[in-house]
Amino acid sequence: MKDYLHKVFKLFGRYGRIAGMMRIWRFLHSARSFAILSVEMTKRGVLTPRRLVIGKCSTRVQDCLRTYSRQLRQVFDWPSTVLRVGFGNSRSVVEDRSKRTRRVPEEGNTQVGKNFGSRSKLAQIILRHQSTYQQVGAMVNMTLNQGGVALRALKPYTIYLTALNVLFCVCLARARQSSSPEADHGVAFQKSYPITGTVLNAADDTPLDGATISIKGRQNTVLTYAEGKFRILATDSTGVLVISYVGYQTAEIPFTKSNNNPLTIRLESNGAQLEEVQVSTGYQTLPKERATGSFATPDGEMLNGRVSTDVLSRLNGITSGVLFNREGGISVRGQSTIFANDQPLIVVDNFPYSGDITNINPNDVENITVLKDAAAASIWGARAGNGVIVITTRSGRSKDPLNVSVNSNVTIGKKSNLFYAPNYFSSPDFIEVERFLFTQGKYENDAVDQIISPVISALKQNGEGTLPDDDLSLLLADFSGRDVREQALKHFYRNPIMLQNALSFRGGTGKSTYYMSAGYDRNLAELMENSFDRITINTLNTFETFRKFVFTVGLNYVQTSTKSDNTFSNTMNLPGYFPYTQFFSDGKAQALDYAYNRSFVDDAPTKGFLDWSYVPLHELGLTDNKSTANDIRINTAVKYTLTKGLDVEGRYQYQKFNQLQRTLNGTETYFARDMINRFSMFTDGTVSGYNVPVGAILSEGNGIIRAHNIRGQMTYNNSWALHQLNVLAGVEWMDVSRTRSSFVLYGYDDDVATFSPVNFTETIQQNPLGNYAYIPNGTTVSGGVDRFRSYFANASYSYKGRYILSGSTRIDASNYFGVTTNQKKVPLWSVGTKWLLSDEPFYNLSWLPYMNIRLTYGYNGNLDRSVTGLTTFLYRTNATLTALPYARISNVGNPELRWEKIGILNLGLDFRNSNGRLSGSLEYYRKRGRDLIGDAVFAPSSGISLLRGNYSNMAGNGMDIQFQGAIVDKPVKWSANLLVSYNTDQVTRYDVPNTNALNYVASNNYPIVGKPVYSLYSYQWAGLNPETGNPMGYDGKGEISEDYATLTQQATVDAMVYNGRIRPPWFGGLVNTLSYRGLSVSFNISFKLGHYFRRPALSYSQLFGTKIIGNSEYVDRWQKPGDEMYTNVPSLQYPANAQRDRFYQYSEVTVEKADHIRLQDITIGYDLKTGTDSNLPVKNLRIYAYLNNVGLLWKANNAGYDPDFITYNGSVQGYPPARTFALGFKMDF
Amino acid sequence: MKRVYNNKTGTAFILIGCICMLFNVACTDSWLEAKPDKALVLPRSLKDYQSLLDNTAEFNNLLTGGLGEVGAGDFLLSDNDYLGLASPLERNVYVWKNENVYEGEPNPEWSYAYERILKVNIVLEGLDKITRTGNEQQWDHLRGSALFFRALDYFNLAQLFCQPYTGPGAATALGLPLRLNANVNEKKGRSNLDDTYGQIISDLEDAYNLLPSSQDYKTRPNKVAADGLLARIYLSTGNYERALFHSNRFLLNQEELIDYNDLNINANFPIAVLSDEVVFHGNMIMYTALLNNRHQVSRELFDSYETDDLRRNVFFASTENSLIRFKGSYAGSRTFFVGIATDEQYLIKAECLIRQQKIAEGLTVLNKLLRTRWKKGAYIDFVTDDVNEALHFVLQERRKQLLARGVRWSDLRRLNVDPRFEITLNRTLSGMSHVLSPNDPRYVLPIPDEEMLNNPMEQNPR
Repeated sequence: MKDYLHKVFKLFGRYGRIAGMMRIWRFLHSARSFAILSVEMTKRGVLTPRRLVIGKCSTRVQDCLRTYSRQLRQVFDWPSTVLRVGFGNSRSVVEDRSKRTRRVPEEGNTQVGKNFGSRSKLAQIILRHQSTYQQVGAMVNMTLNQGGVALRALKPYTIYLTALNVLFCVCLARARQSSSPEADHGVAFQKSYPITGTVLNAADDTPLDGATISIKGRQNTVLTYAEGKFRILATDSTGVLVISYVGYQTAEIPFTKSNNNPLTIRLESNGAQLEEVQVSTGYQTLPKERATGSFATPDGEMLNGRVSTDVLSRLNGITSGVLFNREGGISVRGQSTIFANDQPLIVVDNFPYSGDITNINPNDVENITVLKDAAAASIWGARAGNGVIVITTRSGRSKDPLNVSVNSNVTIGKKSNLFYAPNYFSSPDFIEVERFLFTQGKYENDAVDQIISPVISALKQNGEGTLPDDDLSLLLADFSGRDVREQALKHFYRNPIMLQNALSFRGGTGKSTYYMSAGYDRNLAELMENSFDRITINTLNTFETFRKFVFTVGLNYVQTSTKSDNTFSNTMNLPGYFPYTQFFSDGKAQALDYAYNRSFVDDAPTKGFLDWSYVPLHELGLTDNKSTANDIRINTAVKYTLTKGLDVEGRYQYQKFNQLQRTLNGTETYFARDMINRFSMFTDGTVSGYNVPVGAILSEGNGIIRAHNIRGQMTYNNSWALHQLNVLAGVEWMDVSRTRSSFVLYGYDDDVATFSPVNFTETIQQNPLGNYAYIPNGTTVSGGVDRFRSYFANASYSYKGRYILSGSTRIDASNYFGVTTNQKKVPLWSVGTKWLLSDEPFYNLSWLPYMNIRLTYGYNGNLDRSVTGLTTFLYRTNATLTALPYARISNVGNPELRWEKIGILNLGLDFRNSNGRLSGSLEYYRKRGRDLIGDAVFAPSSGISLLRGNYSNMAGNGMDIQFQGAIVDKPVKWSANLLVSYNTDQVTRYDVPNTNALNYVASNNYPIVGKPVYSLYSYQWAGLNPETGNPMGYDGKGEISEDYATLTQQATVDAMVYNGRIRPPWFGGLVNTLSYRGLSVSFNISFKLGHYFRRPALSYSQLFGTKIIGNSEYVDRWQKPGDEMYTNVPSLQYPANAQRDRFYQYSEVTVEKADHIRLQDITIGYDLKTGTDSNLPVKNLRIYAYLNNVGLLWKANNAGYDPDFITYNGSVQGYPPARTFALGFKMDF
Repeated sequence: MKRVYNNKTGTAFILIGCICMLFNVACTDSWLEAKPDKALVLPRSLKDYQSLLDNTAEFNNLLTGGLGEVGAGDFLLSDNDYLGLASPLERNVYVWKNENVYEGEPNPEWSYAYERILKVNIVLEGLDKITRTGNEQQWDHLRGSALFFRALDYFNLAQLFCQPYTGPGAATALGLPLRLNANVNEKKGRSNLDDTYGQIISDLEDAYNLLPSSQDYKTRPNKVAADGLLARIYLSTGNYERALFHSNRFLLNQEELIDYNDLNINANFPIAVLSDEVVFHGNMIMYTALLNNRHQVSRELFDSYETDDLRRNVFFASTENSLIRFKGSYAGSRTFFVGIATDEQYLIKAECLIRQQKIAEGLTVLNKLLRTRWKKGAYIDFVTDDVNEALHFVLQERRKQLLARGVRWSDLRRLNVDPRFEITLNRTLSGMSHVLSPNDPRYVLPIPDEEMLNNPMEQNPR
């Protein structure tokens, strides 16, 4: 620019000195027209550059420029925002503050307006010749003639003023010239004519600024400006306009000279939208282009295309670096801690969410941003260690007309597959084991609490001679044919149905915006008598009042009601529940043995007890068990603009979450009958009175969470010439208090709300076992408060838009107990840089016009709320025997306690190809967790077995790769979005000595240095003994051994086998979208690779235990020599040797690969575009179908398990979720 | 223009300043001192420490002694029930296994006792930081209670993990790791037996001086309980003179006995918890092997109760297949009682008197006790002038009355020293016979594996 100016000044200098005053005056005369022209053209938007920078200038020049700009404003009645003059330290700037300004022309270089973003096609302007001046003149003449602009007299301000205008014109002229070959030769201007029009997004008719318009076969190119308008000069009488925009399909529109109406062009999205993505940190919203940190922003269409009641589950598989663990919970970029909280912080509308996150209605969610690295998340300080999920709810848009949207769908699911578990121990096998145990004399005991199965009682009768052998075998054959699962499906399960309805209004005027919504969800769960209802109401209004105050007021209200019935889950765990149990037979509901044997229960009424039998089908729905929750959130904000770029903002949020749990057990419920019976006064063989009165039992629990969040923050955004600075600083307070209370009322009469007092203070002898106990007193009161006070600051500086530097810091102080004030405050910080490589002059990869590199480093914090620095007591009420309040030690003090710190280094690369059809990012990161909370083992004589403190370190690294592409564009469109994440971690310091191997194989709470936090270890397997079928293993010395005590207990860690990770190192998803006109189909394939699980294995001690717990591999057990060739299941041994069983269960032969690929869901949508042309009152109508939990496409294990639904240590975790099918529509008015 | 700009900046700073001041005033540091959980306290007051000791689930429950009962031979198991025992600890202790008794599993007797000892030490250290002035009584009672609990645990531990205390040789015998402060990082090795008993006695003597003569709750120790425990300890060490002194002083304050004639012998558990005989309540750690749907009381023992002896029905229930189950726990439940009760003191006093040749005096004490155990009027006072006969009688009655009270193991260890009272224990399981001869090293349990691993110390010989 300096050169540029030099040249111009030289030019003037020459005229001034050589040709004298007259010539200058003539020059000025023409220059005056330039001034007006340039501005006029700017107004029309033809000229895109909005800033011109002039080198060093004196105060006089500055004054001149100021006066000039004021003059211009007066003349043209422009608001000050269109043209302003500002000054930097030593520079003067004239700028148009239109938002489209991206970057300023360069200094020290003769390029002007090159590449205004990748979308700009403004050609380079190079002033090579002095002839430029003449060309400018020609150009000006043309424009003047054509536009007929009225010239107004301007006072002869100064030569500098004119110089400025000259610059504008020069730019313009060169721009026109270089883009039009005709102009180069100074011909054909007369023949050209303008084509004008508007480019809109076909989906919602929003204008597209910055779309590229060109004429096919010609080189001139223009960009659309404000409100999507464009104007291009054509020379031929007919032609084809080519309109392209990143993320949209290129359109070709023919034109003729005769049609001079403005064109309206609607661009269709190509599925891989690359609109400027905004990321939200909860403190600020900024374009992703300007952020240095690592943010994951799941695609809005995919997010909204899914059908679910809650919002978080929608992130699964479509969010880079986010893994939904099979044990429950979410990890962002793997594990960052060993024992402390490992769940990400969830922020809703700027503040951490204190209620139940499942209550947020997904229809109200505008977007979700996941903050992954230190630069992104460290603004959240001590709670950012596991990443942050920022949810922003919808708001109105300024200047949008009223938009009414309706979304309604219904989901129907299959019943769970109860026959899924491959280890299910079937009736015939169960009976076989029972018969075996019977012959071993296990059931000789006939205590009142010894439950005898119908098979055993038949065997007993047979043994006593009352049941002939023939009848017995008939009976057993009958039992073998029964399957409790069939009856369970019939009597306890139904097809789940979920209804979702949402209605919203949004819009805005220039000064205010509004959003209002209401939602209603009703879910009928698959277990009968279980349901969920939710009503949500949301409003968010902003309005600008006097001066520069902007007020925001939002109100969110959620009401949920959950009805639960636990009859089936309770029944399944009863000692009287067998694989051949029948809930309904012989035309009536059958009783099950609950706690006492059948003869006692049958006899109980004759002794005066209430009926003591338990009939599951009668119990179903008897207990009125309901939980209702209310969540109210009020958001307010005031923003005041102090001066240009400097805003002061105050925010306050109040949230109240109230949950009431009410369980009414009527007199007819087993719970109440059992309680009354157990505490009855039983003298001389009969019930003589009641300690628990006959009547219903009501228990209620009420929990309230109140959260106050206050934030004051200042933001400063400004730019000078090539510099842009954004600073944010503030302070916030959080106060979350929780109270909980509960009570139990006996002898409750719901009609009149009366109850009877009972004796809670003395022990009462219970029937029929005779032990003394208190009547359960459910009265509890508890409460607490979390407080945080935090100071935060964040700044980013950008030079030329090409180099960005950012930094942030935060100090948190909290009321976590016993941490001294000094240690309460820990500064966590981050720095980041970004380099727009493709903007460098040397960058010449034309096929990849956009590429940037990001590098960040910093620390996030984490805490474990369960540990404190000093010895603390926890008070409890009602000690046994004394009913006094008592205390226990909740924490043995550890004065060295500190916060966990996670250092994260992130290296990222973003790219986009020239037509915008392929884009993506690659990220590599390293994590170093320091001062992590870990255990140290203590000798029992110290009084504790473990102590938690900052004893551990860990390290991790990984990659997030993301590709988006429009693979096929026409006429059937196919776009794909591929997410691949890799993550590993290992413990680098852990002070607990490696001890008993049993700890490591049976639990994942014992980290080993050098291994991942979640690792699977096994005993080394040496096969089955060919003679006895005993499992054999290798002891520490490499010898084959059957000494199970040594193998399982004394085995050192080295003698174990490390099988691999429990959590997948590789995971991700592939979303494919196929569309043809309005019809689109998308399906989401997710994968998890490289991890392991342990399948359930047979344990004879469990098989012969109080309750028979079997495994189908029982039939595959070693039975005779030679079997060891085919099986790994050890031979039967009675009595069972627990260590032998344990050795087999936790040996390497029970480990399976967990790799799998799953087709998660399929969405089919049909968009009925009515557009503005239609007479229908509907703007958009979309009909969609959604199939969820489609199933596994591939799994590595042959054992039949879905690896996502089995725990690491070999217990089956329920059933894989059943397939659901949803049908719905979405309408916009 | 420039001036305006400056004014605005000024306003901004004033505004920001005001906001900051407002916030700072509202939020002094005490704001951050709020408790994260209302129930959580930094122990500061005597009430806090009292509440810790009032945790009856920890201080009056899970007391050491259960493994002694498993090994002592009063409660037997059928072959099937033995094999059904889940815990290797119980199985191995039941047959006095020689090696690998724990198989890597923790020994709850050891862990629970030392957990309590840590808590007691926290109380004692906490008390040192609270001025006694103004709260003398409560402060003293609290300190006395803490010392009592510590002595109780160390004594109970010594019965399982140390050899019997037999006077002179004790200086070299292995004692317990004596933890007297709350520093969990400190690693303590084993003291000698002399020091261990010295600590126990001195803690109890101090406790006696500090404790009140009565407390509102029987879960809190008082002077009488301290005497009772001292009597039990001295008896176990063979110091009959001191044992007599303390049992005597105990009985001066508390001599009330339940008349078993007043009990409902048909009740599931005829003796109520916290009965009149109980001075300090305590339950032992219960093992599956001791539960009354598993155990069988030895027939020989049951037969030693005569027909008119009410204990035959108060203590025992006969099931249909004629197995004898114990139901006479002073805890009023299946759990065995190991606290301090008056009946034990009668027996101690009687034994000490007889051992001091005061036979008639001793038998008077014993007869007084037994009259309440027999059907009204059925008991005929036992009279003899033969010391041996009297001694055998009192020891036999001791076994019969203090069944399932956690003292049998200790008694066996003590009595085996005297050849007159030697007992050889026998078990036959699945045709295999197991024998524990008198003074066998297996009367001392090995130090638990966990302890040896994390805090290596000299192991007991087996």
